[in-house]
Amino acid sequence: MLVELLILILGAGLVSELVPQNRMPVLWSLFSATAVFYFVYRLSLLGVAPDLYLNYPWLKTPNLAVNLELVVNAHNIYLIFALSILAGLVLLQNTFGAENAKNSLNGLVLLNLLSSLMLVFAGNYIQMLVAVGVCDVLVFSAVNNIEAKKKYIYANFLADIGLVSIFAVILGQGGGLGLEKLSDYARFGHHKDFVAILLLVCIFAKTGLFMFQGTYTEMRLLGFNRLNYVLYTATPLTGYLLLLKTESLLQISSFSYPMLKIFALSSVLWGAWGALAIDNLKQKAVYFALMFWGLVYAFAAFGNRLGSLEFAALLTAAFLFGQVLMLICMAASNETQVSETGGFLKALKWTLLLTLLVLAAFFSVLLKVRENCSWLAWGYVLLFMLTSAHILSQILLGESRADERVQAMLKNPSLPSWLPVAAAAVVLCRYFHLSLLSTILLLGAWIGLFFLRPLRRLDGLYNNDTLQEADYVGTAYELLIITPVKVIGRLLWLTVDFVFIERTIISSVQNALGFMIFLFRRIHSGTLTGALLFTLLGFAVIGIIWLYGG
Amino acid sequence: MENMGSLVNAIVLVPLLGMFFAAISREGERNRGSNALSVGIFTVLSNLVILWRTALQMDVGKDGWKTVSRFAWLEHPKIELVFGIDVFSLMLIAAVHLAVLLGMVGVRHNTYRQKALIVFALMFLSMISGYFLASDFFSFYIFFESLLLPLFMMIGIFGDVRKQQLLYRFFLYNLLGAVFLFVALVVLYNHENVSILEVSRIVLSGQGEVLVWGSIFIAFLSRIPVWPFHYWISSVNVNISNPLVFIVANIVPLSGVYGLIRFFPVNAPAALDPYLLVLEIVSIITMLMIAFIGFTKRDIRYKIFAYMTVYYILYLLGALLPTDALLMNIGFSMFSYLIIVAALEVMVAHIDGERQENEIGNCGILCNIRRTSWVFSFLILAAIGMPLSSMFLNNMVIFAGLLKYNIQMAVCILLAVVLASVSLLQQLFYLKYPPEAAAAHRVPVGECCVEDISLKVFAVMLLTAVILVLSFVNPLWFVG
Repeated sequence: MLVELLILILGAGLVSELVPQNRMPVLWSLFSATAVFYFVYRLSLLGVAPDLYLNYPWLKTPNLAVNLELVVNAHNIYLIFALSILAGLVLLQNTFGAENAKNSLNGLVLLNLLSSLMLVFAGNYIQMLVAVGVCDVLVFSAVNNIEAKKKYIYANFLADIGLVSIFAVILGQGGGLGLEKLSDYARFGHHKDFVAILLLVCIFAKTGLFMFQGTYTEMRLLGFNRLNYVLYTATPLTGYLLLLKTESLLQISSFSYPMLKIFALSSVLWGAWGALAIDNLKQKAVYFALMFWGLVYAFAAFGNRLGSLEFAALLTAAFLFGQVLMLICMAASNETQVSETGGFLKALKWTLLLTLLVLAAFFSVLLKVRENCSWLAWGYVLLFMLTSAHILSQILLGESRADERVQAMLKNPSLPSWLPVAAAAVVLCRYFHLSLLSTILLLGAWIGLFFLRPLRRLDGLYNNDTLQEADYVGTAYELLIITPVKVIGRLLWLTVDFVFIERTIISSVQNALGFMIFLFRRIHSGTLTGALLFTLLGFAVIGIIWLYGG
Repeated sequence: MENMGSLVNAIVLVPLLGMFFAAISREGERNRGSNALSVGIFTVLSNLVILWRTALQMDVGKDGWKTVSRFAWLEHPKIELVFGIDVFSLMLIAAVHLAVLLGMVGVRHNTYRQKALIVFALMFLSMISGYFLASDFFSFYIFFESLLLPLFMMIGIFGDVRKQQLLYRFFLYNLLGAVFLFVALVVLYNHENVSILEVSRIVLSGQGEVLVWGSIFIAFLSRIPVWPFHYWISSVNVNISNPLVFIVANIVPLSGVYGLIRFFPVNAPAALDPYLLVLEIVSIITMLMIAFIGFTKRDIRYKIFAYMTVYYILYLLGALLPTDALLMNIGFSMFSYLIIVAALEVMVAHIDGERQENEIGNCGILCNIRRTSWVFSFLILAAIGMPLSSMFLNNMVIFAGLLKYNIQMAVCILLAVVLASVSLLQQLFYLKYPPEAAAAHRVPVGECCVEDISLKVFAVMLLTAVILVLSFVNPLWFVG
């Protein structure tokens, strides 16, 4: 049954990709969403603790005997549900939203769902690497802005090469292809620090954690739905899944967990700062995603490993908040500069209600999954409240700076866009409900911050062009990596190719040959000088023989 | 087995037959050699079918050389042409055929002496197939040497190499390599005429061993752009604008790599080990140097050359490891690699042609031509090792071997591979969207008369993409 369902997703994805761009996009989007929800429905028939293990021989070449594994069990079923539902939500929003090339995006979302599932199922690292690589190619195709594409593929290609190198090291040391064999490498392998650190760097690059966030901040020119799809259901997610799959490799180095902690917490803080300081709403969404992934990694770093259900719920809640930002942007005629909004509350009451619902869901899930990391969860709640209340307050309550057209066109999102988000938030609230008092207190605190706006002084940052345009990390990469490589290349060409080979070796040989030709010509010229030269040469030969000939 | 022998003979003979028909074909109107081109394409396709039939008869799951056919040529001295085949050879022959086929598609509108071009291309195809199938010294040498004839003719006539001196040096250099091989093989033959894979049976004196094997070493190296010889090869290659000639010229280093793979490392005597180490070090320095230079160059042909060189040396170093377990993986990876580079060159030739015709710059040229842009993006992604071709998994196995052997060396190799790949990506984005500084030279969107590739060429490229993806799913997809 599972195989048929996966083939259904694959088929629907390929059909959506092959259908001409503007041919009945709404119908094809609905068809794609239906395929996904049918998949979810059929999967739900397996129950919450299925035990399905399918193993198909894939490659049988020398050094590479790989099986394709499909595993559905209690450890991953919720994650599979979550990924499918998020894909379904993206497809639904795509149906009613104003996205370019809808059919193509539908196809990519479906194929990406399939590759993510393959990653979830993976029991060997070949399947894992292939799923990660395929996901990269799909997202590369989905990103329809050239600058964003460029940053994305550079970062992810380097991360992929890094991953390939890591697993090549393990394969070379006879570690076998199974993920369960990684623990053997942990015991007997060499270059453990190198492997662990490189693995973490690759994972961070994929997820776009602190120092690597430039991959995603450039995506501010993408459609909002496309952006949310990339941020929560594609490459960053593969980074986290990689971490889960290869956790045993982190234990081999004493640097791993400190590094993980530093990067995770830095991501949360940098994400909060970016969300507060940057004017562009889509970039804010990227920074919220950075905060979220930082939190998830921080949970892993501080020993609170999230289970399938917990992670699935947290991911869904974070995604829903991204959708709320998208709906606000849509309601404001796609105005993305927060400084150009304000006073939207009157027209967007339903949107505020949706925001409260999603926040309730997010806080409920977060506080339910915190286990022994209460300080982290509460710290995050506080930071999230401050940033989200500050931004939404600017948009809904702040002084109106929107132009007349935006003001005139303001309206709540349409029901088909609003309802799926609300429904998903209600489901999360229901399954992860806090006590009524706690919920009221949390939402009350958020509403308090929303009205009080304690961080209003930060509004001035929106006018700081240097800050808004700054790309510190990008500049650092350019200065520390790209420029030296270019300088070295230029120097090598100049010194080795041009000066050494062309001007020294070739010219010397050429000159020597020229001189000899000239000499022999003169010798045979029949002149007195020629005769003298010829005689001198003869004496020179005799002298050499006399000296060295024995 | 007899049937297999006929098939293997046919692989060498069919291109020769095609060459004959192409040579006597009537040229079309206005000097358009479309008849010769049709014969060429038909010949290559026919040979691909023969290759497929051969593959079906082989036990592809098991690697191993099988000598399948023999022709007595002379009694005294006893000289035979002996052919054999294994999966590695088969993959290389198939890849070269597909690459040449793509090259022929690339020159379909090229009216300048097209008939001669096709004739020499088919001759080259026959010679290189013979070289990959050669099973004994003499056959090996004959085909190694005879490769040069069509190559020299093609580069000489169609190469657009402005500096004639470069061309002379290039030819002289290749000929010198061939002479070295000749001397070495004569000495070996004088001891015992055995198959290439059994060459380690021949026992030579200490000094003679180093001299003979050293000569073989130099002969094969002369075909590979290893420092300092990369300079001539790069100078010749980057000036070739004809896609078919470029493809053929870039297949030549394969003959050197193949030679080293067949003779080393299992057969090489221990006395040669220190020299092998020197070769490895020089190769890595070359890789890094060319990758660095490729990164700074704007010329896409140099970038492709840098990419090709880095990968050729990667395969060479993989093959030089003291094991032959990686041979099939190298073959699978090379299959995709050769096809990708050939297809890339065809696209580059198209872009270059349009650029010259419209007198515009390269920057942003792909923005206006969707089909070309799609194909180009696909090929670059496949080239850099994304999971779109057999390079992805098989390169990983090669890296695993290198990392196991010497991690420092492997890290340098990886750095070179990354740089060469990033250079290609850089070029892709340059063609798709210029940096701010180049905005003045950018092709204005919607105001351009740059022509996209035709639907027929697009279909061929789609088919190529399908073959690459199939090779990723299963490198031996053609035998099920």
